[in-house]
Amino acid sequence: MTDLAIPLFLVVCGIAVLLVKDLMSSIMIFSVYSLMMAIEWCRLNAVDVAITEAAVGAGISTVLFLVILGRTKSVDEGKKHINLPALLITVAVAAVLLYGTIDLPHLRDASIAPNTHVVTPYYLENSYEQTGQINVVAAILAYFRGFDTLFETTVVATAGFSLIMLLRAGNKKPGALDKTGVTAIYKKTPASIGVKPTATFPAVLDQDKDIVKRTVTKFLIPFIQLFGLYVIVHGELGPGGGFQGGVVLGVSIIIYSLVFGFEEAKQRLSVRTKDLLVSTGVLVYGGIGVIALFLGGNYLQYSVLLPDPQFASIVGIMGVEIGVGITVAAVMITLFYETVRIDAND
Amino acid sequence: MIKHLPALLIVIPLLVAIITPIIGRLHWVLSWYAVTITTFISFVISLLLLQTVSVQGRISYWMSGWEPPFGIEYSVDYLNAYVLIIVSFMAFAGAIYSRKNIDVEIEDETRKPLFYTIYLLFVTGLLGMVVTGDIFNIYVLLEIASLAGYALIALGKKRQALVAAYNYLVMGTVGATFFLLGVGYLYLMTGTLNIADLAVRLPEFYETKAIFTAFAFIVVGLSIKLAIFPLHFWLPNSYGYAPSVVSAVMAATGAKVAAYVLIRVMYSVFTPAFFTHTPFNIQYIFLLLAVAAILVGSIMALAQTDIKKMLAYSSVGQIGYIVLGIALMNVTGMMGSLIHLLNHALMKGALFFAVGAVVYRTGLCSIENLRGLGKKMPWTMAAFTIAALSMTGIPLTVGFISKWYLAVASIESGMWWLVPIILLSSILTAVYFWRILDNVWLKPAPGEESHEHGHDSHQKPVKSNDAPLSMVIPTFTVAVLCLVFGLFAYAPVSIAEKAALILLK
Repeated sequence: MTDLAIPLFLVVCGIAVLLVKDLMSSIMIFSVYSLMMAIEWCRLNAVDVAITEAAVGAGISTVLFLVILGRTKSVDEGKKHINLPALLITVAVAAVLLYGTIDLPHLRDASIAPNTHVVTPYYLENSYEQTGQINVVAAILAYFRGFDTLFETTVVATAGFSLIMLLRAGNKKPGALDKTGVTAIYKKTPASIGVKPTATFPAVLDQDKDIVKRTVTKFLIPFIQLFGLYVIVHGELGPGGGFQGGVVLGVSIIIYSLVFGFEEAKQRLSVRTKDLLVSTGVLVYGGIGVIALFLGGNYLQYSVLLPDPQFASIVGIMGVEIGVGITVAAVMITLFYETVRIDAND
Repeated sequence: MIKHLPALLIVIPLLVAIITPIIGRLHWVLSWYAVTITTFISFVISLLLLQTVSVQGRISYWMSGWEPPFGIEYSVDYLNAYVLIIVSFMAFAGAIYSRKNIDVEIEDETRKPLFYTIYLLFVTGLLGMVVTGDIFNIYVLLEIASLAGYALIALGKKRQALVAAYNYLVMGTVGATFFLLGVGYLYLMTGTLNIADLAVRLPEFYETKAIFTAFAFIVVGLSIKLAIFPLHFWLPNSYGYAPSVVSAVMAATGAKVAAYVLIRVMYSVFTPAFFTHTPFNIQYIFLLLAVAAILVGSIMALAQTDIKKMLAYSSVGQIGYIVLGIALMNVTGMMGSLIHLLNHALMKGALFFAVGAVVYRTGLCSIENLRGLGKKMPWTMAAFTIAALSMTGIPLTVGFISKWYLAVASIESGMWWLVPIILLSSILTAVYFWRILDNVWLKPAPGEESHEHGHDSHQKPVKSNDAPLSMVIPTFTVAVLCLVFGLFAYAPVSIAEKAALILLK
């Protein structure tokens, strides 16, 4: 029953996003979509993906969408027209995808190739003995396919660097101040073109005076951060790891900034330090690989780090997970900081 | 350390890229030094890899020390080494060239260190895609190269650059997602991601719909990245509005790597035997698209007034040649494609470099604007002319070599009708380059012919006011290589032949 219900609900959400005219509503539907997706991941036993989906999909992206929506003007474009070629292409792609599933084996079939080919059995048999990980997923991600994970972390860092380059630097150009004393980019904000910005626009910069929000946030943030750290370091035992924990850590700073204002958040974590952290995480990960090279192993071969290979693997995996966590948290904060500070003018 | 070369090739640029924004805080020039030296090291490692391959055959490096297919394998044979050399050399030339180029085309000092970070990440991603022997690893590295590519294009000074980058981002994401979907289907059917292992396990599933779907998605995804007609429409604006050094390096390396991955998928993951099992004739579809790309690219190039956009459309046509050779499915055709990977990288690289030098001096890049530049910028324009002649396929240049092999391959497969198309496209190419060469060498400069523009006549055109040496040297070197490899084609041809024989064995 739920096998069908959740995917159907996701499809309904997808269509609703297309049909709804108000951007605010589509953002909310997106948020619901991500929450449902997180539930679906749980059902598929991918709890770590579920944590990320809930934090990034339902949390951070919704906040970012709202911040950006607050800075754009809304124009009534009238009736939405259906783009026929696009519709045809989409239907064709869906048809081909479904055609391919006709002779695809059932996911719960124990005899499908991913379960029977040498790779998965090898992981299941050797994961604890060789890597010291009880959670096989962590062993695969951080060790058997650790090189992929290094570059997945780099993907996140690349996104962070791109954002910093494109959003920040252009704003700081010395000649950007025009006659009215307003920076070139600032001129394009809604207020300047005669459209009243919605309430979220000032809210992301200023402090929220509401005592309830302030108290609850102050009370919750230590727990959120503790949970983030727990998820990073306990990846070997349960679901979790650097990506999930990093996202949760990043969320804690974003919440702080949302409630206490960007200026105060900067006092806690300055933009310079945060930029440094984006690089630090990947350096920790890549550096552990280089140490392994110097100790006579292959790149990222943690077992050579210490005399006892199993313990060395545990240490190596822990190290790279921390590296992943640092970069991911820093980039999540970058996403928020850089979007907000276009108007901060510092 | 020789044993670790495949890993070092990727790890050194990756770590330097990550450190670059930190050292760039001292002064942005330090980040330029870091990137130039690193791309040079990558070039040297690529040469060493080729040498190692020629001595001991295929190299296999086990990441994290796990034996394939359990871990990620880096594998290098003649084909990888050949493409690695092209990519790392053009990245090195681009790095030298960028120092002065970004003074004009990026300006903002705070952006420069991050530009170099992302430039190097782009190169890392491309090199990684070529050296890896794991199909999922290709996807991860593709994401790095793509993300970096979008950001680099968005750096263009005109506002249209942002729109171009956004369009490319949407198309590129669709392409990458298709690739990933295809890889997912492959994994579900075979349980492995290692390319060599896939090649062994796939044949028993050739008849299944799932594998055909996987193939279709991977190929369509790559076609978007490669900008095969009719999926090319993101390309002209991207190359047209990006900073010149970015256009040059992307045209010279990005499309080449996408072509390499397409060749790997079609001939190493799948085998020619697979194409007899497909519901329709894939070879004819590819040939048709290649011919359409060659003709449409050339005709659209004729219609452009902006040189960068003209070169971009010409790239669409040249990619058609590469696909043509891949689709012919014989050794000569494959050789033609592989040689054209190198040749087109050199020719397009030199052309975009030259245009960037013009932008540096004049700030404009319309064809009209080039009048009389032959006298003002003799070295740059000489390089441009060599590369342009090479594009038309005149004998003694590299362009002739690749067209020759493609024509011979067409005749070998009994497809005579392709030869007139190659000739027709050469004529079209000659026409659209003639418009420029005519302006450059034969027409007088704007200030000289009339005195209508008062302020123009005050500044008498300096006899020779060429671009700075750090731009002219890479431009001219790359252009001269178009002649060198045209005269002494033995080296690339023999490597391409060995690679083609491995692919089509």
